[in-house]
Amino acid sequence: MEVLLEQLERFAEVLAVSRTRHASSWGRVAVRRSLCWARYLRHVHGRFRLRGPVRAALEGRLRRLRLRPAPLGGDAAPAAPCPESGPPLSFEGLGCGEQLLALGLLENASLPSPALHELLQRLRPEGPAEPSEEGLGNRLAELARRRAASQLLRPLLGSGPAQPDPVLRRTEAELLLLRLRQEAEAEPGAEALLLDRLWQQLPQPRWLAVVAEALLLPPAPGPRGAACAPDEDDPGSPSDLGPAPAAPLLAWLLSRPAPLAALCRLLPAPLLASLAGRHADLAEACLDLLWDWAGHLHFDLTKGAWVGSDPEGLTWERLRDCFRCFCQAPAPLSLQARIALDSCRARDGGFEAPGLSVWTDLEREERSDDFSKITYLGLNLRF
Amino acid sequence: MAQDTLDTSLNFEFWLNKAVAWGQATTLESQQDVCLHLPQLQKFLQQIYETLKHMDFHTAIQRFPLIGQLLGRLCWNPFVIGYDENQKILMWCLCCLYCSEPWNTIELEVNIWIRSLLCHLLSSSKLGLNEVGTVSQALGYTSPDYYPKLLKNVSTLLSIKISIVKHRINRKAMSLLCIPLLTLPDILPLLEALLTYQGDESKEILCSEFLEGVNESFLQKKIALSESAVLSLWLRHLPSLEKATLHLFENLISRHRNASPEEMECFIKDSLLPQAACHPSIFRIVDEIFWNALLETNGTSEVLTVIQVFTRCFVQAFQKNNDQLKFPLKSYFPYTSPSLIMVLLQNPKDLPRGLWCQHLNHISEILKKIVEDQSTQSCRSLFEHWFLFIHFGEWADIAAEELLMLRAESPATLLWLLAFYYNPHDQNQQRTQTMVAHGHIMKLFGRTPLSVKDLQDVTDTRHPRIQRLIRHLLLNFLLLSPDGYKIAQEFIITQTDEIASELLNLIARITYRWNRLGVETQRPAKLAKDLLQELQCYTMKSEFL
Repeated sequence: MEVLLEQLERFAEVLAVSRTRHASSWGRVAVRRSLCWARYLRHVHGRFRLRGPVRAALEGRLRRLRLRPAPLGGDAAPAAPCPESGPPLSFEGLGCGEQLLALGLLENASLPSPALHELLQRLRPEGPAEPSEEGLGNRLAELARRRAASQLLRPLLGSGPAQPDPVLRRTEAELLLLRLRQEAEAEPGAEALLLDRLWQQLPQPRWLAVVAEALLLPPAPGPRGAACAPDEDDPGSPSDLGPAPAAPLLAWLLSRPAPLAALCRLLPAPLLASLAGRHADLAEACLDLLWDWAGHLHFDLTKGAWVGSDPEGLTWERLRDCFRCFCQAPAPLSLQARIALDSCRARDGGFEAPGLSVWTDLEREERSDDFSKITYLGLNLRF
Repeated sequence: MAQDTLDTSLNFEFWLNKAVAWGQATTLESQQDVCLHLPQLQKFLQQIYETLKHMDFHTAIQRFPLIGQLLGRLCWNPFVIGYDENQKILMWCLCCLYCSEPWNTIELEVNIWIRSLLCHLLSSSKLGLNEVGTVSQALGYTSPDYYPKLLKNVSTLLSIKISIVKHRINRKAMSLLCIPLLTLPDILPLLEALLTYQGDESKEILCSEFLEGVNESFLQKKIALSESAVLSLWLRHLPSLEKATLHLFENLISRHRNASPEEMECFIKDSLLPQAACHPSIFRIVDEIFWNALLETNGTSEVLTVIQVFTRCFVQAFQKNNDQLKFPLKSYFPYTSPSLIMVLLQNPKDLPRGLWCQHLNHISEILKKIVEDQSTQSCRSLFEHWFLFIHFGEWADIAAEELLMLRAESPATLLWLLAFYYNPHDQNQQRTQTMVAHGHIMKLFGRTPLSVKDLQDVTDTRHPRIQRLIRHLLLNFLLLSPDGYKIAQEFIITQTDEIASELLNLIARITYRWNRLGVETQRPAKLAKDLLQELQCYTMKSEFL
């Protein structure tokens, strides 16, 4: 067992190094050996996939590896244009370790020719391969085929370069949930750290879109027992993630004021309404936030409109749009929103005239919306 | 050998020109052209690889100076890469050309070029943020994690969009794009959605190469389509249906010559044709093909068996089709009398054995009436009724058995039926002949010891038209009489190969029927089984020699 764990560590190091310029010292033997390890660990993964003590031990060791400082002093600015030393190795990653290694080596411009040649020979059917080594070339080729297929079919979905691509977002959302689950298994609490990092790293609109998509993904059919073997080709389908895959994400969002505020401010109102409709906690948090912001608006007599004191803050239009979408959403959200409107308006004094209370004006908007809906229902002007 | 190299060189130029013309397959014409040539291109690439695998870079360049251009252009054509094994073979070719120890600038540059091309094929990170997405990279995922999911989502989303009428999605273009990708399992929902979509358009939208390709992949069992998708395919595209039927026929008659009716039943059910045939237009077309086969082979026993087994599978599927729209029986057999259809459709399994004779008499009565009305009807009508009877030829087999088991009250009726089965015309002339032959066979019952010569005397008749009928009766005699079975094998061996295989086919049909109907016949069943085994070995040996 200890031998296995050591080899695991070795391989994780090797995988990390394969993407950096330190691979320039590799020769044929190094490539051969690393592929050998990858293959061996793939068999290990296959054997111990179903949760058990061996898998737990392997995951434990991988967890500890991650916490250790990088053996190479963490140099993140290699001469070659490759990203940071790749993803941290997870248990599931062992299943495609050979492919990850091969791709890493291939993309690494600093790998010397003889070493790459060794790798490439093993991709051919009559390369110096043992029978158990067969398949790496096939699996990589399958990847190429899928890539070509996506390239062919995606344009049919009709999203232009300016519009966000729903398929991309969906895929990213699924990957996010997968990663969250892996982090949670590795170490409780690690999900929050990951999400914090991503929040810092990624452009906000993009990140928020993915978060929204992840929170809207359909729930799983049911908890999967340990007896069911997960899908070989798709180790992270949503159904595999259990009944509440997005729970940590939701928890994180609700506990972080900045992302929550950004969500309420930047996400398109209808999307925000769907999110709120799906997660009651989020609905409450959003309504609270909107109430808070509304307090910062004051009526400008010269312009005849509500303006915010903070130029970066919430605008009247945004507030109105959010409430409009909330009120048009299915119950219980619409009910919640209307109750909030009513009670806030009452608290403000229950005025009817415009310009006195932001809540009165909001409610007038809703009412006129309803009126327009009823009047024009026959002409089908609702979109 | 020289011819080979010449062929490859000529082909090389051809394919290089094609690759240049196709570009990245962005126009409709280039896309269609690529799709037409994909199978041959794969064969050609395989040939190239076979040549390249023994060479190093320098030899390769001397042999194929423009190999770099060819590989490079093909790698940038997603239609080419998406098809079957092209991407694998191209990858292998590139791996062959890579120099392990580059000595000069050229080799170094070649290596760099090969590496970048392989990266383009396999990895995403070189392609810019649009494709992979910063989020996936930030999460630490790479192509093996990413592409299967992306493709699955693309496929799902597209298949949803297809089924929504409002969506202006170009189904024709989509069908063209799917042609190289047909055998990718992730695409299956998309294929199903395309095939089952019912539009308002009067003409077929999906391109015919797509429909042909789907049919071909289905027949070769490379994709697992649902029944409704296959039905939809065959309803839209007649050539596919015809091809599927012929494919089944070929399987049953040529490739699996010695298949027992039980095995045939499996093949037939797997082909999904009986289920599809519940739709009358499909049934009529399949039936037409059977009719032609019958005519071409002069009604050999194998073809008769195929039609019989197929009809049984069809009837099963038809009767199971409870909830869906059920067509009236007349739509399947429009030129025949409904009363005949009803009486033939009766499953012997649902009748007590004692009533079989009575039922046979009934069938005979109805058929006779139709045939004797022939003077007012066309010749065609006669054959239509005969063909209908062939479908349910099991009753003819039962008639032969009942005759030999001496259970028939009026053997003449059953004999007439059997005679009609083998020769639908020339009724009057044959009647006397068949009665005489029947008489001879019945005389064999009393004769002991029975010799092969006795049997040969019976079959050696001056009336060639009723030969098959006689053989059928004789075979039943051999299986059912206590003395007959002793010399059955001996007798069959003395026959010609053609006749022997006809008899074997009959025996197989008989055992199949006994098994299906649960008929209690221990000794004859065992005899039949032994005979089958022994004779099959024997015929295979003689074929070998």
